[in-house]
Order: sequence, then structure tokens, then C-alpha cells
Amino acid sequence: MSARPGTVRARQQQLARWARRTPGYQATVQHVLPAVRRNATLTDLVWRVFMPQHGVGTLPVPFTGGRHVGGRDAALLPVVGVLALGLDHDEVERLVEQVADLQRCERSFRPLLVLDRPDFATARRHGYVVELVVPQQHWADHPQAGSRTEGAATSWSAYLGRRLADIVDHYQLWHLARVGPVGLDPLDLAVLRAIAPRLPATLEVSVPTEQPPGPPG
Amino acid sequence: MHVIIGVMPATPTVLLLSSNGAGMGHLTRLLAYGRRLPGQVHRHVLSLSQAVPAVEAEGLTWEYLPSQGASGLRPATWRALFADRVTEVLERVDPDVLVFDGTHPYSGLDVALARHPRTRAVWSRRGMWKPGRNGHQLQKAAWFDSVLEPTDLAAPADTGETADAEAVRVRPVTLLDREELSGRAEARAALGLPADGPLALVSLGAGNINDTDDEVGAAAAALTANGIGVCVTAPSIAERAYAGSDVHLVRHFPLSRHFRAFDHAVVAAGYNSFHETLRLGVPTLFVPNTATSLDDQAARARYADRRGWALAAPTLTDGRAPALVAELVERGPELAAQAQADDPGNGAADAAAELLRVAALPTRTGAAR
Repeated sequence: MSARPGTVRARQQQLARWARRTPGYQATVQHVLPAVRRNATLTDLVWRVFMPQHGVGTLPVPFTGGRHVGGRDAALLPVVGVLALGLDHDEVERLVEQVADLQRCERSFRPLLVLDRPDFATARRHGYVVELVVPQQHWADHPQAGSRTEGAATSWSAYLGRRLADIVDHYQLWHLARVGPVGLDPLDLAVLRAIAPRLPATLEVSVPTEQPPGPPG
Repeated sequence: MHVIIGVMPATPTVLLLSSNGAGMGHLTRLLAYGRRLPGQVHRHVLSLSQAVPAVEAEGLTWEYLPSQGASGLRPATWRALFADRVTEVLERVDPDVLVFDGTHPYSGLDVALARHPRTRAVWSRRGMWKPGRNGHQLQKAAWFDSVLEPTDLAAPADTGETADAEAVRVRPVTLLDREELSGRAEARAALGLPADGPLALVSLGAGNINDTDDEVGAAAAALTANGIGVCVTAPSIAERAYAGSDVHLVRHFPLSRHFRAFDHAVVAAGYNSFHETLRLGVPTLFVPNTATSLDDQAARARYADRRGWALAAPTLTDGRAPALVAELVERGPELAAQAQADDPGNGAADAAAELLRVAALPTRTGAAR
């Protein structure tokens, strides 16, 4: 019998707190581990022992991938950002349906919606995670350090670039697909359709018949 | 007492950072502070709650950041994301003070604040923690320049870890005061409710309206049997559908503005519901949500019952709902009047003053103001 997720989480947090209080923890994290990671021989050894495969579908990335994929290996599916800016509500609705249809059909990716409008309910119906960026038309309304200190205010495009780099980095995106008013860009759609043949044949991914609940707010 | 005199910027900026949570509590509390800040203060919200667009009604700008639970990321991965995102906002918005409302300041906030030392920080945390829980979080007070506690009307019953912890305590905080409420007719029209007949607000979290083994269903059945119309809240973060049931859905933020639409309330005893119903004079039956990890709603509800401010029951599914509703109809107005007579007033303005005090503190070493 396995422990409940909440219990497991509590134990993990307790263990983490204990580890952080252990003498030498900070030195280990700040100096020893980076040195080990920079050691080419050790890195190669670890890679050979623990990561015999490489490429899409071989590294687990914990992430809420939505209601349309499940199974043992769903966490191995790549996370794909879907960048949809400047759309109206109906266009977002159509886009999300397109992404969901593609995901059900391909079973090859997990989408992260990057929007500039809070269409949370639309995303929640499919269990998709949403990252929001400040819409360009509201940029001037947001408080800016530069405007008060007489320094150079951040441009919206510079802000967007930083946010997207941050999103790609933290969510370990395999690809960032762009979107127009009629849905996924045709080239990006082709890239997404090219994922499935690249996945390991042994991957167990299914389309759940009983849909699990979406992510909490 | 150690007093530090600082210089208030001409147009200070306050960043209101809310954790996620089961409802609107954290956001609402921050908005209560925000609306009592002087008009020239920039107020910007960064929230982990998908209910955050509601703050637009208050004229505030906002941003959203998915919680660890919503994203499904590894906790360590999410903490790094959180730290980088808060850092990005701090550098771009450059607030004079950041106010975090929540009982669990996330690791990563300390990192972001250290990266941007110009910004002062306040931890807003309510009390009434379940005894023996979450005490290790109190160490995080060291990350902040001030700990602000909106006190609880039930504070004498507080036996949790914060009861004796150091904090700047202000009177209980609600977003609105009585004089800001709409009249009964206006409230009912605004909420799309019938102009006549008794109505009760039922806010007990997601439930099954048609199942009397469920708190919501038991409340609805008892109210209906007493000839009272049932109004359930439909918060923007909930997806519960009540289609087909004979109840009124109410959706408005802040709902408390239209509390005069309701003759009675059957609600959980979370901080906001508790203080809004008592301070704003709604005859109430509290049914505490005991499933919360930290909030001691049972103690809060019992205290209100003991003080003669409202009725309280641990559950409505034990067959007592009809009798409790009958008692609410008979005694509710008298209890509500007592609660209002004992109301010490709203602490939101005092809290806003504390934020401005912290905003004016001298910068830490090496930080330019």
C-alpha cells in the first residue's frame, strides 16, 4: 500500500528542513555540488550509469499536463509552450480546443499556455497550466521603476523576452510554439506532429477515460 | 521603543503579494489595505490565485503567477521559478514595500528580497492557527521588516503558534465598512435576486446542493423548508455547477457590498466570512470547515456562539439543520445586533498606515532609494 500524496509531501518537506539544518549544508550546496557538476569525468560517469538514453521522452519533467494524457510515462512527455498573444476570448477558446484535439490524437506532449488574457476557465476545463504575461496594451498602466527614478523604463518587448526566457528555462520547454488568430502556426503544428515518432516505443501514455480534475487555482 | 525616522517617497509603490488558497481571503485582505492607502500610492498585485483579475474593480494593476500546486512542478523547481519571477517584478516595479499575505511565506521570497534590498517587506498573517501547527514558519519573520497581524474577533480563543508571537496587531480587517454597503433593493437588483421574500447566503465551499448528507445540501434543504430562498456563491475560482437546482447563484466581487440582500447567512468560519458577516450585521450560522490545514475555524465559530454574536454548529448533516435554521430565523437579528455592538471597528486603515511606515524606513546598506 502506498502512502497518500499529502503524507509523502509532508515527509519530503520534513526531510528537506532537516537537511537544510544539517551543518555544512550551505557549503555543500554552494561549493561542493557545483564543483562535482563541473567535473567532466564524474558527470560522464553519472550520465552513463543513470541516463543511458537521451532525447525527447527520456527525462521526467514533473508538470501538470492536462486531462487528456495519462498513464505510467506521461511525465516523460515533453512540455511545449503555446505562446498566444493578442487573441480575443473566442480565439483562445478555439486555440485551446485545437491544442486539446492535437494532444488527444498525438499523446506526445504536454502544453503550457502562455497567454496575455486571463482565460483561466477555458484552460481549467482541460487541466492546462497558464502563464500570463502583461498585455502590450496595458503595459503603460503598470508601475515602472524607470518612470519614477527618471531611468529608462523597460520596453514591453524587453519584458516579454525576459519572461519567455524565464518560462522556457523553468518549465524545461522542449519547444515554444507560436500562435496566430487561426490557431497554431503551421510550422509549429508540423513540429508538434513530429514529436510522436521520436518518442521511445516503450512509452506508456494513454488518453484517460475518466478525466482527473484540473489544477487548483 | 526603537523609532526610525525615514523619508516617504513622493509617490510610493506598494506591491501586494498574495498566496493562493481556497478562496479570496488573502486577496481581499490585501485589497482592504490597498484601498485605504492614499490616492497617490501606486498599488500593484502579484497573486498566485486565479481570482486575481477581480482586483481590477479596485483600479489596481495585477499579475498572476501559477502556484506550485497548479503547475505541478517539483517544489524545488517551483521555488526557483517563484524567486526569479518575484525578482523580475521587484526590479521592474521597484516597490518601496512588498506585503505578503499568507501563513506560509514561500522559500524563494527571501532570495528575491535579498536581490532587491531597496524594497522593504511586511508579512501580513492572520492568527487562529490550529494549536501546534506551522510553528516553524514563524522563523521566517526574519525575512520581513514588520509582521502585521489583522487580529481576530475570536482572538481570546486563539491558542495557536501566533498567539504570543511578536507582531504589529491591528483591529480585525474587512474590505468594506457598513456605510459602504448598498441598500437591500439595490443589492438584490445587482445580484439578480428577487426583490421580495427572505433569502439566505450559503457559502460552505464546493458541495452538492442536492445531497442532504452534504453540508451545502443540508443547509439548502433546511432553508427551503423554512420558506427561505437559497443563494450560493459562485466564486470565479470554482467551477461547481448548480444547474437545474432551485437556488440563486450569486457572483460579485466584493460580495459583501451587497450583504443587505440577505436576511441570513450559513457560512464557513474563515477569517473573511467570519468578520464580514459579523461586522456587517448579517444574522449568521457558522459551520466551520475543519478540513483546513491551519485555520482554526472551529474555535472561531465556537467563540462567536459563546459571545452571542451568531450560531455555530460543527455540522448540518446530523439532522439538526432544521432546528438550527429555525433558531437562526428567530434569534439571528438579535445576535447580529450584539455582534455589531461589540465591533471594535475596521483595522484596515491602521494596517495601511503600518505599510506606509515601513515604506518610509531607511534603506538597507547598499541599496539606493
